[in-house]
Amino acid sequence: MFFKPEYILILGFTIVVDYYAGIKIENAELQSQKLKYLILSLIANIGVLCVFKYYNFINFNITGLCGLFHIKIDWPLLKLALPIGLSFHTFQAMSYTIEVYRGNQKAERHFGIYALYVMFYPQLVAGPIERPQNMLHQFHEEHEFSSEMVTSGLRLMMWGLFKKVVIADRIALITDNIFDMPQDYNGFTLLVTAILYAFQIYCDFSGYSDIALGSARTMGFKLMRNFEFPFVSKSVTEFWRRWHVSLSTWFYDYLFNPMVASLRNFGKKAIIFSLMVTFILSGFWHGVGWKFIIFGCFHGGAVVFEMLTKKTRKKINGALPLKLSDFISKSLTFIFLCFTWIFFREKNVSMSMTYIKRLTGVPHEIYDSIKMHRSLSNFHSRIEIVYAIVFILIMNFVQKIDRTQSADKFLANYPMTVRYAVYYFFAFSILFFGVFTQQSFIYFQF
Amino acid sequence: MIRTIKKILFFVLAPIPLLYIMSQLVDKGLQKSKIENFAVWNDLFQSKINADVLVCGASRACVQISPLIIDSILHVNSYNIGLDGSIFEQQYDLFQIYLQHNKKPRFIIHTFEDWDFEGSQPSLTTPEQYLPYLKRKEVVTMVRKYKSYIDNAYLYLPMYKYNNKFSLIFESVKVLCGHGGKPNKYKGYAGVDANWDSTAFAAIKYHIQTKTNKIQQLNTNISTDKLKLLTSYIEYCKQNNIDLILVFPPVYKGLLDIVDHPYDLRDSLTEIAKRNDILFLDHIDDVNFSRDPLNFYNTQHLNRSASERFTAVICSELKHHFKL
Repeated sequence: MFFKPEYILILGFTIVVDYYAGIKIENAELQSQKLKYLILSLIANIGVLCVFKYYNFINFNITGLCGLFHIKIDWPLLKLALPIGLSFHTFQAMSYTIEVYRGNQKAERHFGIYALYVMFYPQLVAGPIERPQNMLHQFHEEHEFSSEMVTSGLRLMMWGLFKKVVIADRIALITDNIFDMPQDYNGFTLLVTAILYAFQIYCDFSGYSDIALGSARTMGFKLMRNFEFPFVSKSVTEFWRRWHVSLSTWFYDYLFNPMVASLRNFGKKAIIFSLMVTFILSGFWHGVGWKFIIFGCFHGGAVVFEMLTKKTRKKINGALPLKLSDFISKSLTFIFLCFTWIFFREKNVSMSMTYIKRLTGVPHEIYDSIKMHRSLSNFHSRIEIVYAIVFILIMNFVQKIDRTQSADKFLANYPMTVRYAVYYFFAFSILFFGVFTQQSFIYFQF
Repeated sequence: MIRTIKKILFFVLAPIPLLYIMSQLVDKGLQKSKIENFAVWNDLFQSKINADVLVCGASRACVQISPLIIDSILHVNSYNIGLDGSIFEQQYDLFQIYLQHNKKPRFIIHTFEDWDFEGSQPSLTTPEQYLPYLKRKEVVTMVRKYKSYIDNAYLYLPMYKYNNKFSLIFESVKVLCGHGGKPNKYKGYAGVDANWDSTAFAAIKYHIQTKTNKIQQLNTNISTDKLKLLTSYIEYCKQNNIDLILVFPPVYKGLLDIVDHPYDLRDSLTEIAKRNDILFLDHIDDVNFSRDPLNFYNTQHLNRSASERFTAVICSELKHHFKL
C-alpha cells in the first residue's frame, strides 16, 4: 500500500470511465446496450484491480501449475505498488454503474459530484464502501452548519482514535512479534495472542470507520455504519451481517443474490455454491495469497454448515436455557473467528500451520504449569496485556450502552460536568496511553 | 457556529494549564532523581562532576570502568559519563554539553565500541533519559540529529512526551514525595553481576556461522567521515591540554575467532593514536581477560569483578605512562 502522486491517474481513469458509462447506460434504449456499457465499466474497474493487485499472484500460480506439466511460461512480473484504497474505491465505483444499470440510481451528470462520490476523502482509503443512493443526493443538498453534527462527529472521531491508538496499536505491540515468530512462543501465548488479535483487528478497522464516519458527520454527511457490534454474533452468518457491513452487503447485493437468482433451478446446491464463491472472493478481495482464499473458504464453509444445520441447532438451543445457549453460540463463533484470523494475519499458510500446530500443545502446557508451577505464557511484556485488557473492558462497557441506546443519547441525560469528565477521560487516555508509532491501519493494505 | 467553536476551543485549551503544571512537576522530579542515567545528567547539569579523570564511551565504558577504583588508585576525582548504546558522535556531543557545565578534565579515558564510527545514523538508545531536559537547547540539538526521536509535539504539547512512560511519572512523584528510587550507579558506573550465558553465545555463534541473522558483532563498516570527528576530538583535547587515552576493552576470544574482521577498528585506532601521538591501550585480546568466558556476562562486556580488575589494569598503565 503506497501513495504515489501519479497513481491519481488510475483513480482519474476509473472516474472518467464510470462517469460516462453511467450516462451511456441511462441513455441506452436497449437492454443489451445497457449491459454492454455496464460490462465495459466492470472490465475497466476489475481490470485495474487485477493489474495492480492480482496480476503477479495469478502469474505466479499459473506458471507454477504449468511447471507441473513441464510447460514453460515466462510471463514478466510487474513491479507495481498497490495504490492506496484501490479495492475500496473500485468497489464503490462499480456499485454506481450497477445501480444505474438496475435503474435504482439516476446517472450523475455533474462530473465534479461524481468524482467526489468516488474520492470523498473520509472513506476513500478504507471505506465504508458507499452506495450511490446514500451518497450522491447528499452532495447535491445544501448543508448548513449543525452544532449537533459537529460535536457528535468529533465525539465519534475521538472514540475511533481511542480504539485505534489505545487498544489496537497497543495490542499490536504484543502481537506483531509473536505472529512474526510463532515458533519462538508456547501454545498458551499463541492462544492469548489469537484472542487479542481479534480485538486488535476489530478496534483497528472499526476505529478507522468511526473516524471516517465522524469526519464526514462534522461536514454534515452521513455514511453507513460499517460495524454493528460483531462480537455479540451467535453465528458466523450473523457475524457477517455485523462486520464490515458495507463489503458484506456489496457482495450480497451484487454477487450472491444475482448468482442465486441465475442458478435458482438448482435449489439448495445453488445457494451452497453461491455462498462458497462469494466468501472465497470476499477473502480474495482482502488480499493476495492463498491464506486469504483459505480464510474465505473457512467462512464460506461455516456459513454453509450453519445453513444446513439450522433446524438441528435450533432444537439443541431450544433445549438449553437461553443464557447458556447464547453464551455457547457466542463463544463458538468467537473461537472460530480467532482461528480463521490466524490465516488472515500470518505471513503465509505455512506460518499459519506452524501457529496452529503449536496451539495443540496448550492442554499439555496447562498440565505442566499446574504440576511444576511453571509460568504458563512467555510474553515479553505482561503489563501491556494488562493495559490492553483494561481498555478492552472499557470499550465493551461503552458498547454495551451503545447497543441499548446510542452512547450520545445516554450521555445527553447527564449534566455537562459528567459529560466533560467522560470526554476528558478518553482524551487523556489517548494522550497518556495511546501508541503513536506510525502503525498503519490494517485495512489500508487492501 | 461561534458557540460550537468556543466550546471546542474550551475543551482543547482548558486542560493545557493543568498538563503544563504536571509536565513541569514530572520534569522537576526527574531532574532530582538518582536512578539510571538521570543521576549522571543531573550531576552534569548541576556542575557537580568537575572530574579530573573523565570516562567516556558507550556501554563498555558504563559497565567496565569503575570511578571507585580509579579514585582509590590514582587519588583523583573521576566520573563515568558513558552513554549506553551510543555512537561516537553522540559521545562527542555529550562531552561538549559536559564542558558547558563542568570544568575541563585533566584526563579522558575513552572506550570504543565497534559501531562507534558506523556510516548510518542510528536512533537514540533509551531516549527516555533526555525527556526532562528538553527545555535545554543543547539537549534538543543533540537528540534532534538522530532518527525520528524528537517529535515537535514533545516540545510544545505538555505531557505528550510522557505518553506511555508511566515508570518515569511514578519515579518523579516518588522523588517529589522524598522517596525516589535508590541510586544504581556510582559516579556513572554500573557494574553488572550477571554470569556468562553460554546459550546466548551458542545462538550468536550459530547466527554468525550460518549468516541467518544480522547480529552487530565487531565487523561493522567504519565510515571515514565519522572517523574525522575523532580527529577533531583529539585536536580539541590537545589544544586544551587534556590527555586523551583511547581504550579498546577486552572482547571474548571465542567471538574474535568467528567474526570476519574483528580487528578493523582496533587497527584504525592504533593508526590514529600513532599519528597523533596519544596513548592507545589495546586490550581487545588481553590474555588476562579475553580467554576466560567467566570474565564476561556477554561477548563484549566484562562482569563486575572483571571490570574492576580491568579498571585497575588501566590505572596502572596510566600511572606508568604519566608518572602519576
